[in-house]
Amino acid sequence: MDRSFLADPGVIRASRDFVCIRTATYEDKQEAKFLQQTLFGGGDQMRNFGFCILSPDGQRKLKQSRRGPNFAYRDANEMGTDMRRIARQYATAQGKPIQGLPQMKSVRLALNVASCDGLPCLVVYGNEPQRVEQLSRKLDSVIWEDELMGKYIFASTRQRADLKSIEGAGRSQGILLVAPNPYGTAGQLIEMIGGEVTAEELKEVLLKAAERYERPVKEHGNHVRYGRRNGVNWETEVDVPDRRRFNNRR
Amino acid sequence: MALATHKERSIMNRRRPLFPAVRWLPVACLISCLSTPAVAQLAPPEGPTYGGSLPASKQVMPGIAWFGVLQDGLKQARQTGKPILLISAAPQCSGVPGMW
Repeated sequence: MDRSFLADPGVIRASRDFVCIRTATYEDKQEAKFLQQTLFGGGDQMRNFGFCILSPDGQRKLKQSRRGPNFAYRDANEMGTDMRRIARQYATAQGKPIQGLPQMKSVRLALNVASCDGLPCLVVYGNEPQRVEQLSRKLDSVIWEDELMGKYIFASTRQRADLKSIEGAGRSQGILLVAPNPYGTAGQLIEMIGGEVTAEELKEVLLKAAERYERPVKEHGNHVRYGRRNGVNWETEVDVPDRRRFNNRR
Repeated sequence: MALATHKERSIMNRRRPLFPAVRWLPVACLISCLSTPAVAQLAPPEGPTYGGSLPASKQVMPGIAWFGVLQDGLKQARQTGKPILLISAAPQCSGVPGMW
């Protein structure tokens, strides 16, 4: 994944006027169809990475690269400027704020993505849909504040079994603050936040936890080498073409 | 003989102004190639990284807030009228998770 463009403060500021979607490639069959059409020109070959700016109805491509934003823009400054220009075209006086939990498809995928990003993960757990909804709304009321945006990866579940990979997770319902392991295949409970917490308290807990969180350092070559040596293998929902080629070569 | 030498000299004199341009042609091509984006798949990150799009920060910093499910994001865009920044990235490398 490209680093210099998406880490740029100007691009991050400009992103506040966009709905930002980062789908996990090969992790959903339905999404794969859309991505193939929108990002990869309708060919049958998916790529690990794609980038696109779309109109609010998702129908019109305003900027596209079959790879990263670095193939569409000279530098991050140019990307930020173009994003601001596009956002101005769609700005309205009564612009509605973004709401809702920007969660991953599953707890399993959220732990992996949190590990990739080097971020902590927040998992909403409730055994009733209403309970999950109530806890999600509570999170939703604080996570879109500037100080907290982009600091956590989210997931929710009603299945106790989904929490098996989280060491320290009990039976209590609430919001689990989790540190993923280096491969994102499991996690360690840092804190259990009860449902009775107020929005102010929740914000404070999340700010403090993010401040205390130590992002683990990784090195790409060693990470992949040790992972393969130790049999760490990620099953995807959609076939990965590169991996198929790699396996055929062996 | 003297005439031939004179002819050769005359040819060389005529060609000389072209010679520097020909000599610099490979260099110009190289500069041109280097100044255009490469066409290969993004290379894996090099050196130590703290992950994601903020690889150099040991601390958790504010960043882009991503919707992880396509349909959730598309719905938000329709409701808010905001344009969409869409990225697709694989959270595994050669089948090993925990690294984009």
